[in-house]
Amino acid sequence: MQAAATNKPLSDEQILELLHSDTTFERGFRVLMTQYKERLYWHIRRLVLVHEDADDVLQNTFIKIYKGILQFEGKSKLYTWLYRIATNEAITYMQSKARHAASSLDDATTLLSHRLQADDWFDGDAVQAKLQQAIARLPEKQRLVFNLRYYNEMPYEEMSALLHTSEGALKASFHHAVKKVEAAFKEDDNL
Amino acid sequence: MNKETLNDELKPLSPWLHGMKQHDDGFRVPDGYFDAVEEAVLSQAKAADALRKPVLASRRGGLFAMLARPKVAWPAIAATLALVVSAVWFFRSANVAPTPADWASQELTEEEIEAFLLENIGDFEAEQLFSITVADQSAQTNKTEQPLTADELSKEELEWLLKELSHEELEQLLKT
Repeated sequence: MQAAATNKPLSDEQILELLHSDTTFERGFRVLMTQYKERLYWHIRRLVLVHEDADDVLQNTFIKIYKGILQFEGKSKLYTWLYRIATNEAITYMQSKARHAASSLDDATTLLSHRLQADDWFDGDAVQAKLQQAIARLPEKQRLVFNLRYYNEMPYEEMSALLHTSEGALKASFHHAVKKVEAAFKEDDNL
Repeated sequence: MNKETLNDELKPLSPWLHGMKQHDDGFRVPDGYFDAVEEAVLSQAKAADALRKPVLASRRGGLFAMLARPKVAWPAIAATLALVVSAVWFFRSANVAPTPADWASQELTEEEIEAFLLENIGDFEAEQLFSITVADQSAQTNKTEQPLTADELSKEELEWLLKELSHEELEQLLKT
């Protein structure tokens, strides 16, 4: 009973309370990592695809959170703030990789596809690999919307707070992305 | 506004994508990765913090910022004080080392002066000791013999010379 009570996740307010005291800061940061690491990892992984890259981005994200958590003013929910940092880190990372290795979206998509196939931590079949390639061909923001909705199942209301975009626009973007992914998948299938 | 679940939304929109979502996507992570990443992040964060704090302190007001952090300030102040006290002690010690003249200017008995000279006999030129005695004796005997050199005097002879010297002569010798 007591163990169950101890393992009960802390609320964001409780985590922030721990983080605002010198004596409990480290404990608070550990709790924050424990409660958010997997969700942030998978959010990042869907964007960068390769485990090694996701690991780099996740660690950078947590270092940014560590340095900036005391500046968090509570204007948004904690997880919205964390997702925003993780998203920015992932996009910056992808842009940096693409700048160094590819000159066009097609090149970047091909590169991503090759890297995914070489990743030891991806053992999906050809269909799954092709789906990832189709998602990777989406424009950056549309891809982000697609991932947040399709994989994270994030409600549009929360996505709106994260991306500063209206719920209607996000829903339209997701529907459009779904059609594009499906079309890209079938197009490749016909080749 | 829109609390529609993904399933409700996706099923009519794209049955194929809805079906794909029911299957494993093929992404994996190494065993124990999520435990290891916490420790990796914490050690990086602490290292970054340790490097950042002194830089921030110096940027935010130098000495005053340091004084506001007692864990850093007190050892630094203690070390500085120890250095200053050691330096003062060293230079004062070097300046006040007694010279033979200082010894002589104090009220010492003849025995004490003799004992000092005997103990430090090697520090004096034999001519200095000898000239006083010879000058004294020659005034009495008017002898014209060549004075002995230091090399020609044995320790016994030097001791004898010292015994022959008066208190005033010894003081004069020490002042030369």
